[in-house]
Amino acid sequence: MWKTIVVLSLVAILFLTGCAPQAKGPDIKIQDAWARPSAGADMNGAIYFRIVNDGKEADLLLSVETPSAHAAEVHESMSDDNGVMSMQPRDNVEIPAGGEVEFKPGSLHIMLVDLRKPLAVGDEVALTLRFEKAGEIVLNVKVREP
Amino acid sequence: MKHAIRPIVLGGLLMLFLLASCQPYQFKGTFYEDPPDAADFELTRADGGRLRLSELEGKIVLLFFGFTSCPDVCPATLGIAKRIIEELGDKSDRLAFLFITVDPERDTTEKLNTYVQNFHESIVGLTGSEEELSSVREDYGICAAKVPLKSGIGYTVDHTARVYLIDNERRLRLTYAFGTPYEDILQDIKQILKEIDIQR
Repeated sequence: MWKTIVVLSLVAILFLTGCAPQAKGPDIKIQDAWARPSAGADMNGAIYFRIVNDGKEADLLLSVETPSAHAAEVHESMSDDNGVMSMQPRDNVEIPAGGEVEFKPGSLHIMLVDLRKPLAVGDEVALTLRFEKAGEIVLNVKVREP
Repeated sequence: MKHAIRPIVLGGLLMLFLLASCQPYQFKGTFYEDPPDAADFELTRADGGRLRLSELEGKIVLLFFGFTSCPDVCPATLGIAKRIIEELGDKSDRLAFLFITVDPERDTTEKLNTYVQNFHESIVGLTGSEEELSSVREDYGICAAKVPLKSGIGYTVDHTARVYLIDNERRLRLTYAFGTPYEDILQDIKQILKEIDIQR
């Protein structure tokens, strides 16, 4: 009898926690990810996407990692008033609660430093994004023309 | 009365149509009111030999300054070049796209050539001595500054990312900011080609 009650309670708890809507914390989703085809070996690549946070708390993208290149870094291209473009690494990127951040050409992007092999249309790049609260998210990013 | 209105309306519409087609073309790029002569230069072609800008007279030239380690802005611009060349089809031999490196230290002719050819075989990569390159940059008002980065690429080169359009008479006609849709540049090129054909 007791055994049945314990088992049923455990099942009920499991069920409830599994179904309970997340009351707080970030809810991170990566959408529309794509990688630019590379211009040969020994070259650098770029990945773009949108990070959507449907949660009630902001989160921070801390780092990225890929086996396809010697390093992956979060960079941001910026233009001044004279049309001079510069590029800076970003230590982190905040994804506001209920908001989104777009990585796009001429702006935020993931730079793949020194690709291990060229990226052609149709290839896939594995990318791990590490967030402060959401933890790790692993993506398979398709290579396509912009 | 009802019958009289119809021709008036039709006539009005016809007038509007005629007026609209008489409107001068509005260029999409930033245009020079009084187009200056584009400074001539001679640089080393990444695919071998030398190239003088004046040799290209008769063609429309698009000029862009960049570097091959650049993962974002330069490939985005060369991607636009590719689209324009493809869309021009059999008229594409009337256009030359030149990519001048701002990073001659890392951009060997071989690397530069592989890079530009990857986008389109007709794109020409150009390099030269530091003096030759800086003199071209000065003539076209291009900024280029080597900036050390805490990054696997070691350093980046901040640079002017506008595309310059030189017409068939080697006049600097238009410039385009980074992010200009390729359709806008394509439409301007088609318009200039049309003007050239009318003058002939």
